[in-house]
Amino acid sequence: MSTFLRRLALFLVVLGLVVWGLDRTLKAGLRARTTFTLGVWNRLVDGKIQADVLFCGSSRALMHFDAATIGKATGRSCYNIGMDGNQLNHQLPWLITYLKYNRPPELIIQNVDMISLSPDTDVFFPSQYPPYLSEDAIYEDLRNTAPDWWKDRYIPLYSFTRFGYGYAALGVKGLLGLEDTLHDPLHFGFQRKDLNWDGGFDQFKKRFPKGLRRFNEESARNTLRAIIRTAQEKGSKVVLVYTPELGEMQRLTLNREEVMDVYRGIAAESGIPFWDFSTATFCEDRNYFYNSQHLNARGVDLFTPMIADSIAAYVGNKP
Amino acid sequence: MLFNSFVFALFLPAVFALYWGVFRKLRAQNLLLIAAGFLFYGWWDWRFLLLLLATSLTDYFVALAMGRSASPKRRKLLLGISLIGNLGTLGIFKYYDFFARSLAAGLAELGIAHDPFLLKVILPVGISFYTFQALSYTIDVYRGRIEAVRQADTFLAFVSFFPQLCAGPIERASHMLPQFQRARTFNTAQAVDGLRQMLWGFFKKIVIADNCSRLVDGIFNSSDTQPGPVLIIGAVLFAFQIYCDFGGYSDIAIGTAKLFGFDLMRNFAFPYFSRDIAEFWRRWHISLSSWFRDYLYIPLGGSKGGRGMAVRNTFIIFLVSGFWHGANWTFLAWGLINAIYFLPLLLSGRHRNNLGIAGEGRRWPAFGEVLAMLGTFGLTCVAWVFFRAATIGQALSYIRDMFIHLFDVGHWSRTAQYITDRATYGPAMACIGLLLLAEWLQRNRQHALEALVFTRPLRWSLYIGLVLLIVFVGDHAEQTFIYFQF
Repeated sequence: MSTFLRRLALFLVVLGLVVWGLDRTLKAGLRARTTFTLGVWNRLVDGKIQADVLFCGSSRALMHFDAATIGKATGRSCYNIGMDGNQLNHQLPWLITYLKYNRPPELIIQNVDMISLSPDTDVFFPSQYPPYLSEDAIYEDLRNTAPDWWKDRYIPLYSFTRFGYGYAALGVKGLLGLEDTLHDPLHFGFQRKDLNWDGGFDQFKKRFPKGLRRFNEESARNTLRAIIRTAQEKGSKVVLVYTPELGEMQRLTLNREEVMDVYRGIAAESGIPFWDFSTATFCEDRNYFYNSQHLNARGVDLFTPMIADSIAAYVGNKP
Repeated sequence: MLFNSFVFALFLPAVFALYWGVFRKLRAQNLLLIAAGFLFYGWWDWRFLLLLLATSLTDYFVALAMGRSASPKRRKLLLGISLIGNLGTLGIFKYYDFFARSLAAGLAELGIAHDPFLLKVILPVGISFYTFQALSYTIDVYRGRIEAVRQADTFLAFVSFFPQLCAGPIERASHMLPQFQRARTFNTAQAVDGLRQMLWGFFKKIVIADNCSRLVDGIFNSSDTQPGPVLIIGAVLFAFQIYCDFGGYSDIAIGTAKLFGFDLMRNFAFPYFSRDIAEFWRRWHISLSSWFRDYLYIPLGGSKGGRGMAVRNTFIIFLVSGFWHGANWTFLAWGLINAIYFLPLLLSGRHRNNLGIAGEGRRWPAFGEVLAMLGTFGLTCVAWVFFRAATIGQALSYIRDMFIHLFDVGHWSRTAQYITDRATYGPAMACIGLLLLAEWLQRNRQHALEALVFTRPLRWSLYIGLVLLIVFVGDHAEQTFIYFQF
């Protein structure tokens, strides 16, 4: 028995070292990536963003705030950390982490929308997280959503069993500097979608011909307050922004005014402005959207000067 | 509890440590195995335990009474009780709804409307396995081959032995019970070999079977729209899926049992290296084939009554074997097709031609052997279509569509697109090549990692390589084993 246990222990030690070493190496590769979402998060935790204006929010932030162009127009460095498919509860830890490694922005634009007041009960695009699980804010948020995230943090290579060899290949490419930097869809964190109307909304309308109500949950409202408070405590100004949304969709939302009143109320109690761009006239034209929630490239080109002007008016133009 | 689950990774070391470290006496070890078996089995649904307990205790008491009785009439009656108890349970849980529906469908054909009463019960995991194992016990006691077990805990440990409780190998009481009755000493070589066999089983299950299942499910679920060559790919992949799923399970079960000092019977002997169907059936699901041989084929007369009886009994065995798998006409058709494959060999007396291994004494097979193996594999693939299809109709149209568009360029270009779209499965598919190579080189062994002749650093590198393949290429969705449904 003792021979068996000794040999088994020795084998497990060797295996453990290999597994642990590979885990560290591959995660170092993921941490070295400069493109796509991991590229954004790597810049964030490496303190390489240091933006004057930071855009936060969900996919509507990600795809609506053309940070580079707005930066040129306002004379400020801008960066977009909008998160596809993630609501306020997953956005807050990234803001906390941002403020941990970067100087507080002069202005934080927090995007809100009709589903912001419904907290995420799962984790969308989970493969973006494993390299950052040593960040307490991020790890705690994930654990609150799915307790099993401890396995990703503490079991070497566990994340690679979840996301497959393709994920490991990302790490290897990052390590060897073999990324396709020419085709990075993100530019200063902004994702430009040069797409035409996809028609999905028409199916949605058929499903909900009489419209639908959106969630308005206390926990999400508190998370929004926490985001504002976190930024303000660091000395950043905050603006809540409602970016353009297709008019037809607005009219399908039965409790839209109720949700907008929540945003107005939170903005007022926090002493910050609430900018609503969903009343822009081009919101009635499908040509500027690829679906009911997201502007396409043409729409972004219309929206960018509007938001840039508002920012400049609020914080002043830098030469 | 699944072997390929996180909880099993905690369960097994815990039971192992208690078994060899704390419960060193035979009786204590058996009690621990009962507790472990019940925990393992009850992990799905504790209510299944009641059924397991009820059938086990019935068989235990019936066998005891049989052992005490010298009256042939009474012993036959007791055997009948056991048969009714076991097969009745199986019939109720597994087959009742099928027969009720089939009867209603048959009556409807005659214009008689009949709304069948259906039980709609969940099929307890592994019921076909443990009832057959328990039956082997009462039949062997009836035949006087073994003594009835007096200690209930010994018998319960035998029935609920967790490594093979859910999907076999279906053990013979005469082989297993003595192992529960004698003191077990730890054997390092046996335990190390068990770990190796488990590793190979996990590789087969997680890397090959579970990846294949994604592709196979996609192809079979849309078989009416898939191009012919993709359907062929689907049938071939299902052949590897089911082998690696069930063969993988068996490797893990046998390997796990070795850790506890038990020797389970072999269940697979590299079946896809078979040169004819008869050899395939000597190498595939050996514990079930031999069960049917011992408890059905031979009692029916085997081949002693001449060729006619041998043919009749062969068809009975294959049909019953098909039906054992599931209450669906597709399984019956699968059994029938295998019987038809077997028939020419039986009639020509060539069914026992290939008793050794392919490429005996050589590293690589002869050309003729390659052709024979490919031919046999092709035949099994066609039969597997019936096993996997939802209905006979789907199986027939699947097989038709595999071949009628074989020379249609459009189908081949769609197939090329299909393969390109699934390039991420490339490494898993390459692992099928690794599987075949490893099993071919080790075909005269019990499993692919047994008694490797490499130096220790090389062996360990191979094991670590397999672990890394499992990590990076495996499908970790904890997919269940196909044979659990049977």
